Amino acid sequence: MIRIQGLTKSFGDLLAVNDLQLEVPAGELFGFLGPNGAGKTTTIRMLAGLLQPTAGDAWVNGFHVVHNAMDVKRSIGYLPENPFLYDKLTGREFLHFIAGLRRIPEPARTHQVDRLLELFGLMERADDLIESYSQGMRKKLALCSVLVHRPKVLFLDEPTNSLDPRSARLVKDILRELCRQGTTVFMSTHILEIAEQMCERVGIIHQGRLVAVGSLEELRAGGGRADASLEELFISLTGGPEVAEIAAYLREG
Amino acid sequence: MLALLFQSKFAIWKNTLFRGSMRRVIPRLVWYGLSIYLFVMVVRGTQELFSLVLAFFPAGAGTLLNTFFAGLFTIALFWGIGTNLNQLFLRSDMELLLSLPIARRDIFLLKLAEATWSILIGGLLGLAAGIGFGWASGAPWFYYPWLLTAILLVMAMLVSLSMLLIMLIVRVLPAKRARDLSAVLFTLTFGVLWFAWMILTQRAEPIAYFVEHTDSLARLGHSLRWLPTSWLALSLEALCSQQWGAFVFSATAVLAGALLLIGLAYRVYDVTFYRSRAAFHEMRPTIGHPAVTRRQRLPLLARLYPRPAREIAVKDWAILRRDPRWLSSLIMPLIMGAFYIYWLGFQQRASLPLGAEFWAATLLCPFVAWFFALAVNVPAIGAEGKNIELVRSLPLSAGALMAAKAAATAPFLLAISVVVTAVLGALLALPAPWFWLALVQNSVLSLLFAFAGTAAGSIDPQFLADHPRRSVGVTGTYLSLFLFAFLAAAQLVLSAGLMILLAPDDPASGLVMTLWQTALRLPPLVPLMLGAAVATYLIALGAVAAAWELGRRRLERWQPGD
Repeated sequence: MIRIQGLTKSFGDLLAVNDLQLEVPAGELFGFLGPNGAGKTTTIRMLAGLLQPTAGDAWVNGFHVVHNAMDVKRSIGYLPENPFLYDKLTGREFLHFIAGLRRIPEPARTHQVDRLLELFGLMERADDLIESYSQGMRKKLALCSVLVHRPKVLFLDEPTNSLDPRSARLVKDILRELCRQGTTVFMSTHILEIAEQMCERVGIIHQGRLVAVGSLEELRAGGGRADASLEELFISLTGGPEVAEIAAYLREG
Repeated sequence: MLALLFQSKFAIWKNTLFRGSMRRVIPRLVWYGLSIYLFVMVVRGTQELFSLVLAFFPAGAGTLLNTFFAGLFTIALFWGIGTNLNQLFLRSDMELLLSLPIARRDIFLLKLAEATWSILIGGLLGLAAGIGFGWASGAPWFYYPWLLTAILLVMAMLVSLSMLLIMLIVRVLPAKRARDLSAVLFTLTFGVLWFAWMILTQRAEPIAYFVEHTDSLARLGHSLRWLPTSWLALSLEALCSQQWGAFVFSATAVLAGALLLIGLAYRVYDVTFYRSRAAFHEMRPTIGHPAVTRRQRLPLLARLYPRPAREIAVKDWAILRRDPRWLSSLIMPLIMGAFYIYWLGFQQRASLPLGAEFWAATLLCPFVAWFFALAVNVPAIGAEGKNIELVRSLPLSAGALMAAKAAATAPFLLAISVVVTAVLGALLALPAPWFWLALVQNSVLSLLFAFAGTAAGSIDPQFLADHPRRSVGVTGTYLSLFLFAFLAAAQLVLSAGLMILLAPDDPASGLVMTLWQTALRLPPLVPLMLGAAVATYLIALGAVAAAWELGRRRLERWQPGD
C-alpha cells in the first residue's frame, strides 16, 4: 500500500530525509517515530504529494507520489500536526466544503458529515464558527475532514495532540477499526505509549535516516534488551551509543 | 522593555525586507525604490502646484494645504479604525505580549507605534505635500524638522482617536455584536467621508476655481479651522511667513492635542482594554440553529457552478461576508460606482461634447470593476494563507483552484459593472446601440478583470501575510495593474473599431476618426482600423493567458515552506 525507495529530501544544505526505504502493507497501523526535526513531517508531506522529493520514489495505493500526485491525493487523508481550518466557516460548512471537493454526492454527503460530527461529539457546536473552537475541537474537526471520504490510506501527523483522554481514546478506537476494515494508517507521534499500544510496527527516524523498523519485539531483539520499553529503545536509538549496532542488525534482518 | 519590543519589530521588518531568496528580496527593494521615486514626484508636483497658487492667489495656498491635510488624514483616521481593530483585538501577537511580564503602558505604546506605522502612506503623502509647500514658499530650514515632528504628532493623534473609537465600540456594545458593528461602522463612515472628500477635491481641483471663487475658498478654510489638521497647516503657514505668535499658538495646539489624545487613549485602554478583550474573545458566534438545518443550504447562485468551483465559491462567499477585513476592502469599488454615477450622470452631463457620452461611460465605468478585482481577485489565492497546504493536499489542480476563485467573484464584478453602466447610460441618454455596446463591453471587461486579477495574484502570493491586503507581493500587484490597464485600453480600441464599422456617421465615431488621424497620423481606412483593434485585443487576451499560465505553474509547484 505504501512503498518507499530511497526517498530523499534536502532543503539547501540540510538533509531532512535521507535514503528512506520502507514498505507498509494494507490494513497496517504503522507508527513513525522520531525526535523533533528528525524528518517525520517532511516524509509525510512527500507521501501526501505535497512536497517534491529531491531523490528516490514512493508509491501510495499504487500511485507514484510525484507523477500521479492527484491520484494520491484522491485516495488518501492527510492530517497535519497543526490542522488548517477556515476560522470564518462553521464546522458543518467546513466539512461540507471538504466533502464537496472530494466529490461526495448528496445525500450521502450530509449523512457522512452528520455521522462524523456525532461520532466526534461536535454536533452541538456544528453551526458555530470554527474560530470559537478549542484546540481539541479543531483537531477533532480536522480528523472528521480526513475521514469524510473514507480514504484507503491515512497520513496522520501527531493525531492525538491536543485531545483530552476521552477523545484520544476515541481516535485510537476509530483508527483500530479502520485498520480492521483494511485502511492503512501511517501515523507519526511523540507519544510512545500510543505507538506501543496501537501500532503493529514502528519505524524510528533520526536525523533523516530510518534507524530502526519492525514490531516492538523485533526492536527489542535488535537492541538485545528483551524487557526494554519502547521509550528506552527510542532513546537508545536516537541518541545512545548502540544506534549504529541496532541499525545494522535491523538492516540485516 | 519598550526598546526591546521595538527592537524585535525592527528585526521583523529587516528580516522581511532582506532575508529570503532574491526572488522575494528584489521586488521588495524595487517597491521601496518606486516609493521613494513617487515621494519625490509628489514633492515636485505639490511644489509646482503651490508655486502656481501663490502666484495667482497667495491667500489660497494655506487653505489648499489645509484641505489636503484634512482629506488625507480623515482617510487615515478611518483607515486606522480597521487597523486598530486588527492590532488590538485580532492579531495573534497580542496573546504573546499579554502573557509576558510587560507593562500595559509599553504594550499600548507599541500598538500605537504599529498602528501609526500602518498609516505611513498617509503620513508620507502629508510630508511630501508639506515639503512642496515649504519649498514653494521659501521656508527657512527649521520648517522641515518641525514639519516631520508635526506630521508624526498628527498621525499619533489620529491613531489615538481611532483607538478610542474602537475601544468604545467594543466596550459599549455586546461582545457578540461588536465585531460586526465595528466593521459596518467603519465601512459606512469611511464610505461617506471618502465620497465627500472626492466631491470636495474634484470641485476644488482647478486652479481657476480657486481664483474665481475666493469667497468659497475662504469659507472652506474657515470651516476647516477646528480640525487638528488645520493646526498643523496653520503652524506651517505661520513658519513660512515668520508669524511667530501664530506659529507658537498653532504648534502648541498640535502638541497639546496629541498629548491629550494619546493620554486619553491610554487611560481608556488602561481601564477598559483587558475586560473588553476578554469579552471580545469570549463570544461564541453561531450561524443558524444547531442540529436544525442539518443539510447544507446551497446559495441559489452556487447551483450554477460546476464542481469544484461550487465548493470554493460557497466557502469564499461565506468568508467574504463574515470577515471585516474583506468587507472593508469592498468600500472603494462601491464608492467609485456611486461617485461616477453622481459625477458623470449629474455633474458633467451638460458639459460633455457631442458624441462623448459613450466614451465617458466606457472610459470610467471599468474602473469600478478594476477596483473590485484589485480588492477581491488579486489577493484571492494569497489570502488562503496557511490553508493553502490544506487546499493543495486535496485533489484539486492549481488551474481548477484559480478558475474557481475567479468564477466565485465574477458574478459580483459583472453585477456592479452592469448596474453602474446601465444607470449611467440611462442618465446620459445614450442611444440604444451605444447603450448596449457599453453594457456588453463593460460586462466582458469585468469578467476579464476577474481572471486577470486572479492570474496576477497567483504569480506572487504571500501565504504568510496576516491580512488579505498584504497577501500579494509587489510583482503581483503591479502585474495586475498592467493587465487591467492593457485590457481596458484594448477593449476601448475594439469598441472604436466596431463603432467605425457599424456607424461611421455617428458623432462618437467622428471622435475616433479625429483621434486616429491626428494622434496616429494614419489613413482612415476601416479595415486597417478594425484590424489594429482586433490585434490589440488579441494581444491583451494573450497577456492575460500568459499570466494565467505563469500563475498556474507557480501554484502547481508550490510546496510547504515556500
